[in-house]
Amino acid sequence: MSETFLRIKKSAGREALYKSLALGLAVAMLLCGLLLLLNKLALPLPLPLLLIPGLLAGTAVFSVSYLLLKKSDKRLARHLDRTYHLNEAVETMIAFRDAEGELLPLQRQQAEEALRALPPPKSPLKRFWRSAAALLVSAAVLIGAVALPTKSAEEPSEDTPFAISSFQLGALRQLIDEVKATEAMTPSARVEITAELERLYTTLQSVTTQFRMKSEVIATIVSVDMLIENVNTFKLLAVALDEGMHDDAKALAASLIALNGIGFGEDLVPLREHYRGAEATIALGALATDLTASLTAVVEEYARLAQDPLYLGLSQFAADLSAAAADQSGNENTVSALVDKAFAEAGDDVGCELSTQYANKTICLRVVDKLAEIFHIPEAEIPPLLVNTVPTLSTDQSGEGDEEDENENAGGYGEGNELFGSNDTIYHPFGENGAAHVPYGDAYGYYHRRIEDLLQYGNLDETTKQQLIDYFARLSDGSKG
Amino acid sequence: MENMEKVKAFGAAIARAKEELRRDLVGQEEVVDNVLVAIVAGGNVLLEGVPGVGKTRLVRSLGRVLSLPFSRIQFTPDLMPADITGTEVIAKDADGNMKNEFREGPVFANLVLADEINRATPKTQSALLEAMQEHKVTVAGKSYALAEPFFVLATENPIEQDGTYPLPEAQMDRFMFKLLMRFPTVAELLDIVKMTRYTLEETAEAVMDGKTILEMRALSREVPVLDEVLDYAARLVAGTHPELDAATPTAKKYLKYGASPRAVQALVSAARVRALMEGRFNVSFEDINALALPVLRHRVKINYTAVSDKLSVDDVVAMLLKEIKK
Repeated sequence: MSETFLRIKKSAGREALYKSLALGLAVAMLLCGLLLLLNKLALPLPLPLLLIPGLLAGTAVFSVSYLLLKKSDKRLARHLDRTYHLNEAVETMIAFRDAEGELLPLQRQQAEEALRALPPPKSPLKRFWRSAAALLVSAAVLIGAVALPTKSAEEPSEDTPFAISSFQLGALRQLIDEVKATEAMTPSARVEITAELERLYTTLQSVTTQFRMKSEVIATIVSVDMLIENVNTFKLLAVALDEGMHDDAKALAASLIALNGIGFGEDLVPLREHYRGAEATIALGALATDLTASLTAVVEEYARLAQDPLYLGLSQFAADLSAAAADQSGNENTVSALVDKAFAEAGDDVGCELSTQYANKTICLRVVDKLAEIFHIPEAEIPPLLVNTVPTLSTDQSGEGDEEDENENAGGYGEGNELFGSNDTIYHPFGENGAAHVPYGDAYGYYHRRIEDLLQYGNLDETTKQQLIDYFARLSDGSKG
Repeated sequence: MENMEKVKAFGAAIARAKEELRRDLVGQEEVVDNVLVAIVAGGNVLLEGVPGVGKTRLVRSLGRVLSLPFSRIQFTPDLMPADITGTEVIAKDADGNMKNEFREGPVFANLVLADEINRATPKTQSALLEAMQEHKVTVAGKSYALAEPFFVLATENPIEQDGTYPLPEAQMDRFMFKLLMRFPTVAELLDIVKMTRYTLEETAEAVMDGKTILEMRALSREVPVLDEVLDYAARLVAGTHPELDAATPTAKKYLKYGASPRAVQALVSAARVRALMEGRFNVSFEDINALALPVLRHRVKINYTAVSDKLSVDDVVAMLLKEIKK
């Protein structure tokens, strides 16, 4: 075969390789760059997803390009003939390279001379400028993507300045007034929440960074949440009643946990029907005994419950039932009247207190919601709220009661049956799609870290600090237990 | 190198033939080139042109240049086949006995000029068919071979249609080329006038003979042709047939019928000679394109659509060439 043709073929092969490599590399860099841009600007992607598509696409483009650009002898001969108008001399030489004929040697010689007379190849700049341009463009995209700072979804740095606006101050003041005007909630809780919000109002006026602002607002949210959780006793009492042996005590527990206020009286109606007739006194005695035992046990464990209106209402109910059971008149009507009175008073007193605790919870959620709105606190940064936690009772039909038992065995953060002492999933009011469930363990960890920050850097008064320290100390003891 | 010498001799012979022909014929270089191609390739040529453009002169000069036995047949309506092929006559031998004897007609020459061939009747025109294709003549059941090389160069006048008989398609197909002799330019007319001040006779001299032509023909057959070029020629000819799938849109629209397989043979063999005349040792697409008009223009027939669109055969063939991909 013609030496000149072989030389040209080798050169063309190299050119095809270089161009294909450049193209493949350009595609790989471009795709990686675009994915990196996407990663930084919109959609976070894992590292393999940033690299693998680009590498695969680059390899594929290189392979296809090399197959297309690399010319066979025949294709190269045709290319030369067409490009340099050689009248098919080279193609004929290649096609008849193994043939014999009178004129074939002359034909080969002629083709060889034509190839030798070809103009020298263009400069590399002219031949490879497209490849170089593609490489440069894709490299620019990649470098730009690498250099682009990552769009941070995190909270502003500590240096981000903050100055509370008059609008925020006005909105906060409006919230304070709203809380003050809420008659339905527990007075002590209203006073404490108002004080907490006033403290925030004052503090934020001197805060100069976003970080501090958020810390203060979240501390307030945690504080309000804990205040209400301490004031609202329906969960503790529901759990206590649920531990009793009597089915109606468990039904009362379910009604308490539902926190449906004056609806509590309606819940008692079907229970009342269980205590009619001659045997009513015996049954009443059993229920009264069970209620009394449960309430006595819980007040021994939580002494603060001794003055709790809800506890007192329930205790009074147990005492009234006990009195009815102990009636010695032998008159069924008398007993029935006593029982009716006991149930009616319980419906009023306990239902009234449940309404108050419901108002406490509502105000707590309202405060959290408004603070988040006023100070643009992302939902993800608000810790799970204790007021949204719901203990699982044995009367639940979902079967979660069994799981609750297992969880108890697994240990918790509190003592006994305190609701925060379990690993139950707790309700988060600001989650995506309106609600989310967060494992209590996670919530506790988050709380703890926040409280540590607050205690170290926050502008809290000594009383609040001490309350926080005591509260988490108690939780920690529970977890160790 | 022996082959190189042959090639050089080929080129020299062609160059000298052109030079000698140019002494007698002003202009018409393309016609001269194509006539020489046909001579070397062994094809017959039909020359068409108005009176006085040098058709007959070209053939007469060619006869001198080739130094071959030359005969001229002036076709007329009363010309009979036997006037061309020859006939058997009763003659006495040396002993005085009577016997049938074949008297050769004017076709028994190497170079036959069929002047104004379309003036003879189809019967007489057909007398040339066997001679043109098979290079033999059959009279009274007996075949007589014609001397090689054998060529028929016919002329016809496109404008005098009264009393003429269009050549049948079968005979047209026997002509390798149909060459159109254009009217000379003003400058050429002046040259013609100057030339005829001295003599009206042809002055060309012999530069080759029959043996040389046969050697040149044999050499041309050695020129390699790419399969792609052969395929192109075949697709070009098949593309002229409007009834075939291979027909081009132009053929379907403007052609009544297409060229015969002899067209491909003619294209390729003439292309080989043309390549050698151009100094090349292989056939190119350009050779096929250059010869497509003389090979196809008398083998295809345009329809009324082409006529109404004022397209000539040459226009249609040129359109075909643009449609066939190489």
